[in-house]
Amino acid sequence: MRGLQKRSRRTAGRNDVDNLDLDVEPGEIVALLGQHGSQATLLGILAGRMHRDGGYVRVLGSDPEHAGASWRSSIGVVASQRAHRLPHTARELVRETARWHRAPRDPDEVLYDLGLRPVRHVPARALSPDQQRCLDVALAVVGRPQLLLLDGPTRGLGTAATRDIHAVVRSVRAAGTTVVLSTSSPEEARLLADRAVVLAGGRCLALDGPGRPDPGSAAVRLSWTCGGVVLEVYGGDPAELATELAHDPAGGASTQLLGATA
Amino acid sequence: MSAVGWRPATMPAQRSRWILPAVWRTRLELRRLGREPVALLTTLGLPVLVQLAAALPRVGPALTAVAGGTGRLTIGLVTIGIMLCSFANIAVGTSDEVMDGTLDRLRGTQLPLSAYLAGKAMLALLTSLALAATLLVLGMVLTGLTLPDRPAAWGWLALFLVLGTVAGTGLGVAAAAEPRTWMTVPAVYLVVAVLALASGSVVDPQRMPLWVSDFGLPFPVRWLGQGLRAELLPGQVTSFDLGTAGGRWPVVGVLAAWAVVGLVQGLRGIRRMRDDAR
Repeated sequence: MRGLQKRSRRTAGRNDVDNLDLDVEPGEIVALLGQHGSQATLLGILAGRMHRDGGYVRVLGSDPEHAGASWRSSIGVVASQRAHRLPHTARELVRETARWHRAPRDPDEVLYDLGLRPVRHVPARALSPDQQRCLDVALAVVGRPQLLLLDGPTRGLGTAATRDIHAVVRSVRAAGTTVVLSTSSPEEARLLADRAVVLAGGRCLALDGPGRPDPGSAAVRLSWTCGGVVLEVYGGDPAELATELAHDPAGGASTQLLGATA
Repeated sequence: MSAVGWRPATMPAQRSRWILPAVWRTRLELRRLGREPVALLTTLGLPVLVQLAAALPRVGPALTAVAGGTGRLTIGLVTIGIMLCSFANIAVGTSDEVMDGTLDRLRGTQLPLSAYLAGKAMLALLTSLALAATLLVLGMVLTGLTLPDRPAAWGWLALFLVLGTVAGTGLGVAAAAEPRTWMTVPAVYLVVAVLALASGSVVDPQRMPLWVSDFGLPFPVRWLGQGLRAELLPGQVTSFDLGTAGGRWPVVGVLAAWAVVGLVQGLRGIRRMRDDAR
């Protein structure tokens, strides 16, 4: 698998992605922090479900917008949460999805990993929101995707579901899958991701992220590239910082950040 | 975890790449309908209830009078039933799949969209067939309907049924994939009701203003009803049917045209769906 390179831009609006550059290495877990709209847009473009206004995007060697069925089936997508409406059971849905993939995982194993085994015979729409979210993840990973895109996979979930989803994300990465996920929690990014990207005002304000989990410190370390200056920030809430930065001209941002790191 | 009962080789070989998925999809759709009591009632239950009501002492004659005869009533119900089973049920079911992201997920697999559509069409066809058979048998038992004994008539009926359900399925999927929000569940049933009324199948066309039946003329329901009446009630061809008569081929032509339009629109609808189109 090739890394992804993407440079996309949309005009006006809070869901912008503006002149964003990002390379993701195979087998990496990258967390997107910052404005939710931009995260969703970026993930939508990567999944080939949204049109981009410009720029160059390659995901697994193809342009997502024009890639075919076999490309799409090598991408697992967990979109922002929507309530399930089907009367089929969790197990039926996962098995059915597995059926349409070339080398699927064992559906029962996937259900077990996500804590859905006890409720596998319950209709999807009767599951709790946490269980439905776990089912979303199950449906995305059962096809053994090369790339897994998750839009706020643990947003609003309880600890058990969050723990299960984190474990599954780690295990698919261990099996070689690249993961890009959006989150509003720097803590989650620190725990799970190799790198974090902070999006604000549609721009990539910060690259390089929390690094490996740092047991000694709860703080987040971010290294920023802003206006050509590379900065490092310890602690603080990167999403908040990034939002502030978005409203300032580049020079101001640099000063502010330098102050923060000093 | 053990993998008992699970066969990893799931994608069928080259040749059966389309047929097998379509069969699996049909099974899944049937299972789904079996678990949806509301959908069962609105698609299969309602026409049967009306047909049963036709045997009641007071309601029966009133219904028959509106429809213009017991035979016409049964055939009108078959026509509406086919619309409910294909267009309405498929539109409602598909719009659920659009809204909860099921269709997005299916797009992320190797399932051919045509097999997905075929599953829908098979569901519509099987339910239409079951409903039509039930209604005709009830019509025979309750109101003395006589069925044709010529095999050719049944051949034509089968052709009309297939074309009608395929057209309805395609249009139903297209309606569900419609990104604008007006295509809601009530809107779907409103469309069915308006077209059924304008088709002259359930209301005696001689009691309808001319503009109503003219309005119904381009739509497939009108032609489906006309085709069914021509085969099932050969002795009762009215001036309404004669006005558009010319044998069975015009009926076949109109229904086939709608079936093609429906399939193309349905496929296009689910293919162009994107997150930012909604």
